[in-house]
Amino acid sequence: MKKSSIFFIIILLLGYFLAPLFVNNAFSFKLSEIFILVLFASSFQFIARTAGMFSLGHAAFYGVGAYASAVLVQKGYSIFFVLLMAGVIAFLLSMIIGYLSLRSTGIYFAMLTLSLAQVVYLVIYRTPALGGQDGIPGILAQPINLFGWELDISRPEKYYYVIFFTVVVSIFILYILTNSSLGHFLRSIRENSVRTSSLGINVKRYQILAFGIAGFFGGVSGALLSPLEGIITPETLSWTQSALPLIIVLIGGINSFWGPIVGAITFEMLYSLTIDSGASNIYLGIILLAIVLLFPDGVIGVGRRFISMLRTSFSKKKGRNMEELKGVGKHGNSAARRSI
Amino acid sequence: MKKFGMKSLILFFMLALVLSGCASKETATSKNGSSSSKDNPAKSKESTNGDTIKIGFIGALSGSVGAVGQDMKKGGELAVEMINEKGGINGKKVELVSKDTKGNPKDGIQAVRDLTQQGVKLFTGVVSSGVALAIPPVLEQENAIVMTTAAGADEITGKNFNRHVFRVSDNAYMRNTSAANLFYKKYPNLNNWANFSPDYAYGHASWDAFNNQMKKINPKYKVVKDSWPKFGATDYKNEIASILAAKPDAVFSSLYSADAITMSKQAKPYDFFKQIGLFVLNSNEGDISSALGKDMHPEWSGVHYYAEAYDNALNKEFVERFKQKFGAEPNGYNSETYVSIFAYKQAMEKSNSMDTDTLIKTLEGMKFDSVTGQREFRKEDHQAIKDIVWVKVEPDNSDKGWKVTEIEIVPGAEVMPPLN
Amino acid sequence: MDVLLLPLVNGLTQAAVLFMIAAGLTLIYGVLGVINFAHGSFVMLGSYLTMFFFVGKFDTVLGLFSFIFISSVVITLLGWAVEVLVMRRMYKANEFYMVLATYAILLIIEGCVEKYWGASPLSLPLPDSLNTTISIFGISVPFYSILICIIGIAVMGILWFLMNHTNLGRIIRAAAADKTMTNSLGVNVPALFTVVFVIGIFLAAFAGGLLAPTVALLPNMGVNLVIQAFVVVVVGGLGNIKGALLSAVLVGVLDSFLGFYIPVLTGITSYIVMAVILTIRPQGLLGKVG
Repeated sequence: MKKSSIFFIIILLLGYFLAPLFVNNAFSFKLSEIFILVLFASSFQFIARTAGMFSLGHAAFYGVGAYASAVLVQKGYSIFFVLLMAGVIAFLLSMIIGYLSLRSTGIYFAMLTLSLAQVVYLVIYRTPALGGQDGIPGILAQPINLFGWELDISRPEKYYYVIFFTVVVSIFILYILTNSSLGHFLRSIRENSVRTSSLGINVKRYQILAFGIAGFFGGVSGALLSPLEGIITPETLSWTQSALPLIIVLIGGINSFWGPIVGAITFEMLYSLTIDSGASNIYLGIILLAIVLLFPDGVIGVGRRFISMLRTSFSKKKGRNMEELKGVGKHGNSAARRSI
Repeated sequence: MKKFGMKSLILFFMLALVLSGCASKETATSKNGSSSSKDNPAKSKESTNGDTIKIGFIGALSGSVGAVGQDMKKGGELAVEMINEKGGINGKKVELVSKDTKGNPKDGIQAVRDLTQQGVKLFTGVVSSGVALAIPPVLEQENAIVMTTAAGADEITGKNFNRHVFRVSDNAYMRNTSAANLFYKKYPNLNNWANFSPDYAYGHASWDAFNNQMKKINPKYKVVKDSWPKFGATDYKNEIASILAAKPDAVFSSLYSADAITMSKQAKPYDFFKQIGLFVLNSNEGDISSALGKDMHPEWSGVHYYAEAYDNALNKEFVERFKQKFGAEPNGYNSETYVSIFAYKQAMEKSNSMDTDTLIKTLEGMKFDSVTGQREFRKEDHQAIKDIVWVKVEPDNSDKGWKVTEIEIVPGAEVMPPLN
Repeated sequence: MDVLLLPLVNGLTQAAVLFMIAAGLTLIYGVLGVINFAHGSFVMLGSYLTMFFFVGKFDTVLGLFSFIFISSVVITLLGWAVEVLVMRRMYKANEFYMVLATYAILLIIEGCVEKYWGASPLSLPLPDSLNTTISIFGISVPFYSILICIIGIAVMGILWFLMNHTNLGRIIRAAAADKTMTNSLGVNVPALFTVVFVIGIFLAAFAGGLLAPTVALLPNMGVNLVIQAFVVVVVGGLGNIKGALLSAVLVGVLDSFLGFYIPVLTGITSYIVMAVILTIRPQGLLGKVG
């Protein structure tokens, strides 16, 4: 990563860090939700993009993390311990689901994750101790103590910092993992699992590990959710919720590490703009259709094409021509197809 | 990406931040415009401190219970229109601003936060108990009040009591305890009951209240079959047949909306409703009967309100104006939200204040007249003491396919949940 | 006796409807390689259109079935348009883009139905002559359930004949087995894809029409059905019609029996069946290895 990029990231983070001072509570709440979605989608992206595993049951980890945190927070544990525990529980669950689902590949894998997640959903739905269909209400995070500085995080504009910190750290870890030797192995497995296994790498073990890591961060994102909203219901695990990270990643751009971030922001904006129209599903459907048909690289792809178009027109004097632009467009498209 | 992506990404995030900021304000104002009463669109941007009082309506306006929310909103709109005609509240115009919750707790919280940001402190509506249980912490933080008008879970004014929450309608305990009292009195010879309720919180709360009360008052009472189909099930034939096999005298059900319709349709070929002496459905505001039309079965339905059950001046005015405005007879979803707004009006006029704390204190123990006669907010749990209405629905040969043949009213004071 | 027969008949009725939905899904997957998430919304549309045409008109058995047929045809035309306008552009894309595309179609269809007919449940009355029970071995079974079973068997027979004794069927089977081969044999592949997609949609709409008089109509009623049908398809082996039949009966009957005896398992049964079968045979009951 270039120095200027890091500089920009720091500026950006600072901006988001200070945001609650300048915007109202409703907006802090919205930002918090976006951050949670970013982590949820990023954890999905980790296995989808790097390892080529498209899970349709990712909401199971999100939801289990959320339930774990709801129960633990009510028992009075500190939020960071709760987040870690929720992540570990989701990690264990996703190792199990991963172990069972990774017996098959492609669409069978997707359907297996979907149905196993559905089993988790129904089990939680029917556990009276977890509140059944009504879920668990009244989840309020305990105040945290940072070096003698008491912070009441039961209010969303304060809790925002917990979310902000956790999500930034998690994304950073995911970024490192993606570019680590693990990420490297996963990519080579995605490209050719036979060749990779002939190199003496235990393919399945790495895949299950990656699935577990995605589950961990999925669980953490869910765990952040319940103290924010104060209530958790089984709907958090429903299969439409599993479709959400896939939608977000595709809106943002599947080929970029930053896809989930752009996607989550775009998705939430669209959602807030259309919720009172009474036809938000129609709009969402049309936008999704436009993306898969016309812009397979999502918002980031559109942005890139736009920028390269600007560049070409600026640099025409230097002798570049439109041929190159077409090349960029085509490259982007074929890369989209190839890499998933 | 690394070549030229980062700067554009940053730009995107900055833009997104600004845009979504604008977006949330934009939706807010456009919402004001669309739902403000027609005579004062110009004033819609002013906050409560000015000369309008904003009342927030939150409820599912789309999705599986969207129709309920839309009915509730109509009642609120009519109340606001009528209040403004007579000069508003304390000389201020009233405005109803609404937000869709889709029945999701998440969207419910967002709705409350968005509306409080526009200066709304008083809320009405709320279809689903999940939303009603989700919003109290937010109300506390924003110092606002909600008056729920349909959510029936006992916890709202019980275990999860919050002083910012009032319930103008009844709850599961009241409605189903009244069912036990009423049907034991009316049909003392029907002792063998079967339960046919959905397996989720409201279903269990309903049956528990009914079952416990029956055990208390009827020594010969027996449960011959206890059926718990899944909430949202599409096949009830197994349950229907096994209930019939148990030969009950009467069946109690808390199946809701679509589930009740599906069950009725699948029960019809078995002559289910002819084989049992009495079918009690605890929540049917006429929506189920209207959907079934000519297929409607005979039953006793529990309702919030029934237009012909009351003969007071307030009710006459309500029914007349509602018919004028919406061309239909009002139902219990319409009436409860309508009542809640007048309850707010009385509290504001009585205390001559807009302060949340003062209003809570005024509402506690307040008696107020409504379309169903006098109600009272119990001081301890903020539950309204109100009548429970039961109507007997029977199929007939009219175009509608059914008619109400009998009305029973159980006074709320007889069936209030014990305080603890 | 009745404790055995009753859940059996109910399970078979459920299996008949599931089979009609699953057969279309599996056929489309086998030939086009598309998992059609929108399939359920065509089922839902089948129910709504049948209600729309039928209510208040010829209140007879003949009327009901002709309107089920008419609405299926109308929806098939819609399916044809969807294939030509959307699906055809997607065949070369990754299958998850297609999942997303069909999900988008589902959202649009559901949204439009909710806009037009509203979100509240609607009902289509069954003609009185069908609203009876008949007695089998001393227990009464709804006549319409039996009728659905019979129609299910008839549809199965027609499909079997179509697949095994017609030219189209041979081409479809060949295409499912090896796409490149079929292509090089000079078959008009786009046209074949359209035909297969349209057959699948017709079956879905027809199942929806048949189901309409027995349930409350809701804009999202297709979603649960299609998830169940997915289970059936995957358990049977993707792309395999015989497998779909076998697993529809297995899933339908097991769900009914277990739901009858162990109510807490209602709704979960099919997923458990799926998890068990796929851990033993990852390719499904009759699926090909690989």
